[in-house]
Amino acid sequence: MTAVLDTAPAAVLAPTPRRVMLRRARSHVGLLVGGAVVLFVLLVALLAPWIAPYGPYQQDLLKRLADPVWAAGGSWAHPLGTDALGRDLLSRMIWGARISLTIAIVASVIAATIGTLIGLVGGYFGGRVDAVATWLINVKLALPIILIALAVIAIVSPSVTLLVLILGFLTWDRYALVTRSLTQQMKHREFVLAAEAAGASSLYVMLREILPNLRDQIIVLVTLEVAILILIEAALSFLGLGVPPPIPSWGSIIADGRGLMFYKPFLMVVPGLAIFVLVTAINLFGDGIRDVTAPEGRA
Amino acid sequence: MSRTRWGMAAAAALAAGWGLAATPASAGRANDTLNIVEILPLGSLDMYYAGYPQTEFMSDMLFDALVDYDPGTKSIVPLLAKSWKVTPGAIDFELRDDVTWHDGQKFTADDVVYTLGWLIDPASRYRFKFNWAWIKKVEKTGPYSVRVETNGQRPYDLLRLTLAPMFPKHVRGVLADTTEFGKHPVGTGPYKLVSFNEATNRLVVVKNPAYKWGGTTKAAHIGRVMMSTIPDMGAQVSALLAGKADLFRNLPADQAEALAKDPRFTFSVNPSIGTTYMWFDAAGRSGNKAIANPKVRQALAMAVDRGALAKIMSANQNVEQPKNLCWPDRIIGCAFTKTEPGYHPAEAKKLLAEAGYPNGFSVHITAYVGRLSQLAEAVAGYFAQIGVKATVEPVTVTTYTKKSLAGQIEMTVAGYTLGGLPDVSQQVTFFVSAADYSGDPELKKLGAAMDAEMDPEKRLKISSQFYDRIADDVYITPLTAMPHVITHLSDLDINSHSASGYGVGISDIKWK
Amino acid sequence: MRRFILRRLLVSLLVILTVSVVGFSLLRLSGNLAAVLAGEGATPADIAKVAHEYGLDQPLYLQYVDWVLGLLRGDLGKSLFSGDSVAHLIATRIGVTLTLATFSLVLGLVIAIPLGVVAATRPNSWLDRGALMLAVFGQAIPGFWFGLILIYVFGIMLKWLPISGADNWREFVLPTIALGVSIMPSIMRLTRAGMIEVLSSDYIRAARAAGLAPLSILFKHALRNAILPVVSVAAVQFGLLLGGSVIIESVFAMNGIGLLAYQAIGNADFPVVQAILIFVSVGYVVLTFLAELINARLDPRIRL
Repeated sequence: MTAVLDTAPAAVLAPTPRRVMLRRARSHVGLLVGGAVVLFVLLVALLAPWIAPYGPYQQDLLKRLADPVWAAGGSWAHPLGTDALGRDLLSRMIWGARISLTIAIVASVIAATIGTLIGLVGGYFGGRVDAVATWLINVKLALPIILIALAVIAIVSPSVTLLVLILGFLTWDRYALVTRSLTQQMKHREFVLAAEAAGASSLYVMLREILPNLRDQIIVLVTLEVAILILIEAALSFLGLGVPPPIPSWGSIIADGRGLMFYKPFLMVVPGLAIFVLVTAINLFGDGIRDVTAPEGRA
Repeated sequence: MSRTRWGMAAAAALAAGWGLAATPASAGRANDTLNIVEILPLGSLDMYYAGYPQTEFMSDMLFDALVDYDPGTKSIVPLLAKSWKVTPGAIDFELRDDVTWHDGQKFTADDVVYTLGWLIDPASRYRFKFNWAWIKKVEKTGPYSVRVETNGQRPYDLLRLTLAPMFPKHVRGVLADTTEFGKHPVGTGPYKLVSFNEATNRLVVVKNPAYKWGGTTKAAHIGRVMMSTIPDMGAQVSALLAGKADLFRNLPADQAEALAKDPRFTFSVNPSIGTTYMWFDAAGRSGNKAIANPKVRQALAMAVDRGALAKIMSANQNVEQPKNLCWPDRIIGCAFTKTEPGYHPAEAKKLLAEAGYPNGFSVHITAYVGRLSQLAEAVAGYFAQIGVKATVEPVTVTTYTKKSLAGQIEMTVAGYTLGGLPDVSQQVTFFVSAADYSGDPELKKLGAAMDAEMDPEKRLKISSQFYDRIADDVYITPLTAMPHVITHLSDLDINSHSASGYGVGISDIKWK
Repeated sequence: MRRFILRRLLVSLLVILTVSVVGFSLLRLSGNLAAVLAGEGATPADIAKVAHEYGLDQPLYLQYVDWVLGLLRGDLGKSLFSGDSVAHLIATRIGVTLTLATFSLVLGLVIAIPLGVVAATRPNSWLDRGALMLAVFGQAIPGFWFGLILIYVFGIMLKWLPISGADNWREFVLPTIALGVSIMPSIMRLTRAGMIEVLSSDYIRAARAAGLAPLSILFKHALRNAILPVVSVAAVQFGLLLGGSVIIESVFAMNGIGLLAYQAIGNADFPVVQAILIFVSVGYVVLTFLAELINARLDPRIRL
């Protein structure tokens, strides 16, 4: 969402030998630390059914608002305490990671598909086709994401599927901008001209010649967009129009804890910190991939 | 450098000016000012256009109806009318002749004819118009007497008039757009308007020195009352902590209990005439086939632990829990023999299997935002135990109504306080006439019969059939009591027995 | 130049037109408007009557044209919830939102630009790394959560500042910080990148060789050039802040258009939502257009 210029396309690169990239990766602190945290959260999300001590909906209304283990009244039975319905916060966090990550990743893939397609077609054909692409991108940029998402979700009624779709359809602009300008630069390169001279169809050139060369950039973008989507999803769930309760997401857990922040601040602090750490890690990781694959493109 | 300093000086000057311009919220016992904070905006003070609890509370201060309901004696008492005579087909009112509007004009029969006439005028457009369809005609029979002709006769006609504030013909009647009246209200009530700022949603009223027609039900104890909107519960609590609010409702009971550990604050619990409930789409309007199956509904009714759910609504307060939808001792015309089925998850699972859903099904629970959606979430938690996948959609009252009318609701976890009107007819209207999800013509017939029966004994008999039928077919099943939890300064004394849909009436609040 | 401006103007108008179609469809998709207007307990005949009165029985494109003509006259319709004119509702609330967005932008710039400049003077030093880390943090912190933490720390624990409302300047402090942090990273990175580029350019080297004071070089010569793109991005950011205020205004209970939109969504009051959507979108388009004009003026190479 923040400045589009952040990820302004770097000069198109010649493919870097794998070994050089690996060497660079191994000495990149941000990539390693970020990657480790991301991997950890991914594992937790994947293994949720086996590692969560309780079910996400398992409640005990007689054990509401138990303190976390570090507080005076806490116990290891509920290391992070329980929420207003007596549900184990640790388990909700673990299941929440699964939900939040799934939504962000699937939505990013949808957005990447839409955005890349628009950028590729606009950039390759130019002229009127590009005018349409530019128009679509400009319209998209002018629409306030949170407001539209809130309104549509309120009309249709919240569900995880809807959330994924709407986020996917509202966050493709960066992919389109980046692919469009990269394609514009690339369509005059020799390998593209050669393919065209050999009689390859436009579709073939776009998908087989240009797209593979955009892979690195798109991967970096997907990573960074996942971070942004986690934040948007959290905000929507926080406002009560994201993931429908009782399904846990980190944003909705903050919303649940908000009313109790004066008495039980941990209910709101823990999920917020989790989002903060994960998003930081994803950004470090994404920046790291960019540095490794395209060192001269560093902002 | 010098430029920077100039800039800072200018900023400081701006800031100082701004600080002075904003009037500090002077509240508290010292200046006899009560500062009430609401979560929803007031919008309008015209009850007919904005029939919300917070409007009702304010309306009650600014306006009077012809008659009033006294929850203490459970009877109708005089207000603007000093006496009345009820006959089949008409009610004749003798009005007080010493009542004045806040602008000094006299209150007369013309005002009554105007207000009730407007309610039934085909050209008037407002919410809940069907509530007044029983009035056939209103005519002046003298300068201070009025005859209200009715379509037939119902046991609660007079009671309903307690919720009809009288409006001045010389003010509201001359407006081109009657919705304007709700922003500059002129009434006869114990308080009169000082200011109502729409943008900030801040309302200020002061005691009406001329007021002497209120009796005990509308006594005013506090000199000045302010109401403002803070649309977030957390922010409401912080306003209380910061001394910017003296009283608010809506705070969940366990938060109120936590807050009351601070000696400056306490809370009062009004048992209320309402209950919370699960209301199922038995008619299959929403398309959820499972819910249309009575066995499934029975299973769901047995899947929840009502005793534990009561903790959400009442925390550790000892509040009596309902056995069926209505309260025999609090609501006129309430009777039943069948009660809620209790908590039997194993049996519930068996019933589900019998109904053809051994692995459960999915259901969408619509719930009001706030503590009721928390209740719904807990219900969803119990459903999960018997394999039913439920998601909760928290909505505002307006959205709820819209969805309900459109037949889009699979099931509701909600609460209803009968709009503060302690008569079963309110539940008939709410659950059967306004939005029918039972699809049961017999239930409709029983409701209509109960509405029309003038003999109290016979009415109770029909009532018993009505509520038993609801329990047998599990159209609606009660969950918990719905106490109003009023969080306030320890300095305040709240007599919390009013029937008001708001949770407390203005005459119930005074300084200790 | 003139052709460029005309072209951009045309694109902007086209975008605004499209946004208006999106807004229009949003309201129509929100449900049967006539039934909502007719109120509860209305008969089908009542609804048909209302539909006729409001022109809702006309073909959709005619309704759209009518509605756009209304927009051009400043008629944004009426709130379904309170019956107030939407234009009036927005007018009474817009001040808070504009003030908050301005304060946040200023705060973001005041922190980000010096930080970017300092970081650029010593690339890869600990100072630079620290600044970049700060940017990474600023990007990763959920604004609403940061707002709650600010409320907890400064409002509840320390009791220094009020935590809700928008009636005086003190109430703007915490929300400004919460919102300002979100725009700080991008401006910081941009300033830094621009400064690094300018500082390595020939004319700065020449200035250095001529023996000008380093500070003077930094601020008078380098920053002036590096800041140009920042100005245009700041304009765009301001547009984004208007849309982003929904969350912060609800956290701090500020009566701006963001909170108005949020409440209107809750109340299914879609004429209000629609108007705010169009207002924010048009604001964004206008600001972007201005930013492009500035850019084009400063850098004649730009021709999108």
